[in-house]
Amino acid sequence: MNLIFPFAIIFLLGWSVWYIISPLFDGTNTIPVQISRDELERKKVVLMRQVKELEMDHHIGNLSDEDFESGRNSLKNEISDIMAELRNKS
Amino acid sequence: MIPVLGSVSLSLALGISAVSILLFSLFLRQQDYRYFLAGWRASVAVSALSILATFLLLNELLASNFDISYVAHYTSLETPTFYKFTALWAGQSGSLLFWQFVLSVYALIVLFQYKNSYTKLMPWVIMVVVFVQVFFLILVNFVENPFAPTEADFVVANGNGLNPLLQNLTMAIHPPTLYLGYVGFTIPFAFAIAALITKDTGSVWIRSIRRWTLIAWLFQSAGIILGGWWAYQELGWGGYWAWDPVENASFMPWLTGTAFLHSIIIQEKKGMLKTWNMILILLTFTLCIFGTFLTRSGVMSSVHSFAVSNLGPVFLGFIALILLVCIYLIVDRFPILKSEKRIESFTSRESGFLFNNVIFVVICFAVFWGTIFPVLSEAVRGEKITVGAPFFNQVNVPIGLMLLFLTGVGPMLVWRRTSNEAFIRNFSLPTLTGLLVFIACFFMGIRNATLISFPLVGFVMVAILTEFQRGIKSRITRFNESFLNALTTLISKNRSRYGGYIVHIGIVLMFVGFSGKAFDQESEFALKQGDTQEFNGYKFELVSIIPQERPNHMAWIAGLNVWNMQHQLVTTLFPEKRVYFHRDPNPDKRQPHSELDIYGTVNKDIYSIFSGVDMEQRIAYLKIMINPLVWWVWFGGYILVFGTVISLWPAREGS
Repeated sequence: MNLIFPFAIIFLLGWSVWYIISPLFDGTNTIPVQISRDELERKKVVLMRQVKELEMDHHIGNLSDEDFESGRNSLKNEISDIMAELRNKS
Repeated sequence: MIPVLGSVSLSLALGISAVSILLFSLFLRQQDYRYFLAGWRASVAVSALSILATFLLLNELLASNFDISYVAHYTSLETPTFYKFTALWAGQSGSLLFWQFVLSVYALIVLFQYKNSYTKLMPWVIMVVVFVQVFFLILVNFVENPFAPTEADFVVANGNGLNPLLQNLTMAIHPPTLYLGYVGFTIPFAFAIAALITKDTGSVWIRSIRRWTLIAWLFQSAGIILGGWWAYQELGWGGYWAWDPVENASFMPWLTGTAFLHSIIIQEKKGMLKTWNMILILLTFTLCIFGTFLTRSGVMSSVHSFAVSNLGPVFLGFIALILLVCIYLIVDRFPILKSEKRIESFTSRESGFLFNNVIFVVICFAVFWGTIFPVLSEAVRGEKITVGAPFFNQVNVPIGLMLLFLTGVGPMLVWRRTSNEAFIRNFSLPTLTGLLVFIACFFMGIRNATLISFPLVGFVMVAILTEFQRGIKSRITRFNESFLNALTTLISKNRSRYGGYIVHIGIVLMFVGFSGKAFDQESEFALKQGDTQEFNGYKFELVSIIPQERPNHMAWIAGLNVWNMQHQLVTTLFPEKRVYFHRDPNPDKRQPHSELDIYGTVNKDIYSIFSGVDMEQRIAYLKIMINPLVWWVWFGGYILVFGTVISLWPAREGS
């Protein structure tokens, strides 16, 4: 019983140290590109949802024609920029 | 040896948290991704070790290891297993460890959520979370160690046991729920600080934290409602909110958090209120820490603060540090936080949101001032001037009613400018409803604050339902859907907005319950077994007093028949008079407690308290309260939670 606990503490310490430092020896040192792609994809989906919401707001009279057009155009431009960026990354 | 393992885990977690911050600093300096990965893993280890320590303490509580001071203080051999489990957050050090536990769980979710999606905010987000963890780890390692041994030269045979007030099912759920709210605001705070540091104050961080803020807000709301429910059924004064300092401490971050949830809509849609949003979320987190300070420092006397300690200066130092960093960052980044657009009209949805924000912050300030005034008066003038419920009610009831009014007005206003035509179209029906309710209340003889609140309830309810009706009508004309189909699709495709409206319905229903307070009635009387007493249209008959010995207390149960004036039995109530630790030879250690019984209906509650007993003469001393409309507070709470869950529910991929 008395031996188990010192070993448990040594194991806990050893595991923690190894778990933390192992990426320093076998990890990659550049930030993966795929990661920022995912972020852009997510942004695109959010913006597309905002367009749909804008359309509904306009239809139920919460948004004037002028505001609807300018809002939709600015969102569409933003989506186009993201799609261009995604094409560049692929 | 398990206590040693627990202490080692906490020490190791503190050491590794420093390593984690160092690794992220190296990553930011050298842009070597390996440092980021190692820092990420170090953060995982900090959380894993903190969770391990919590489970070890839980194990000791369940095993009644009285060698640990915390276990001996908050449990005894007679404490039921369930309450040994809840003793984890009953005392100072346990609740601080529990804070760290909840934060660790949240941190792990964030770490794994963003594991494969690196953004430039992430290193800073993780560092801020770890920084908050460091604070709590310092507390549990050096100030209030939950694994500290019992200071006695002999073997402790039994512990003190849990405070009877905490031996209640609601009290078992209420603190963790509230903690999930308090701690949850750490994540939006971390994103806000990261956005300020990286100068990426656009809409990315807002989109990243909306869900997190809503989760924290949901738990904070549920925690507050559960706290009210516990106070109502356990404390025996017939109310659910007393403007107690600890209640106020949980209410303040809720107010600023609610304001933030509204104003981020403006930033997302219009690019406005960027500075305001930053201030709100930073303030919300600071108020969460302030709330923990109030509960845990013992600086305020409250029925809810079960711990007294000298943690005050440490917490105040941490709050001061947070405020200094936040103020510096906001002042320094002020030029990039400027709004992209301006509010163009008084009658626009933007101004509606702004007014509602101002009201939330004004209520928050009033509550803050009333809460800290006794401490300030004592510090400045040497005498403690207590600020009671009348002050809070006098200030907050009119402002709250204004907020209720804006809850109805907001959805009816149009973005940018509401034309006269739209104004008349949107406001006619709700205003007419409000007027009709006012006239009805007036002729019913109502002359108190409910003469304003009930018409407002009608106004807001119709305004929200009109918003649903317009959305449904739009879908029916555009997509030729049936009414039911249009309703479900409307909600499922716009969860955030319509979930929000459902939350508003919940709040309106809660206001119905709050209004009922104006009609409360109460009476105290002594009843001999077999006797009856009339009160408020009911006849109360004491049919029995039964003594019963239970594992950790002695109980006297009163059997109280309630008859209506038509001689029909309405219900039988069983309020109890209890004495905890009744076997303790020292009478001073025995704790009397009244376990009340409530008969709740939609229109009123019959609330019975067994205050005292004379077994020789078989007399029960009773207090009866008739509390109208309280049921609506809890029902509104359910609706609020339901609406928030709808808002939170993730949209289907590709929808």
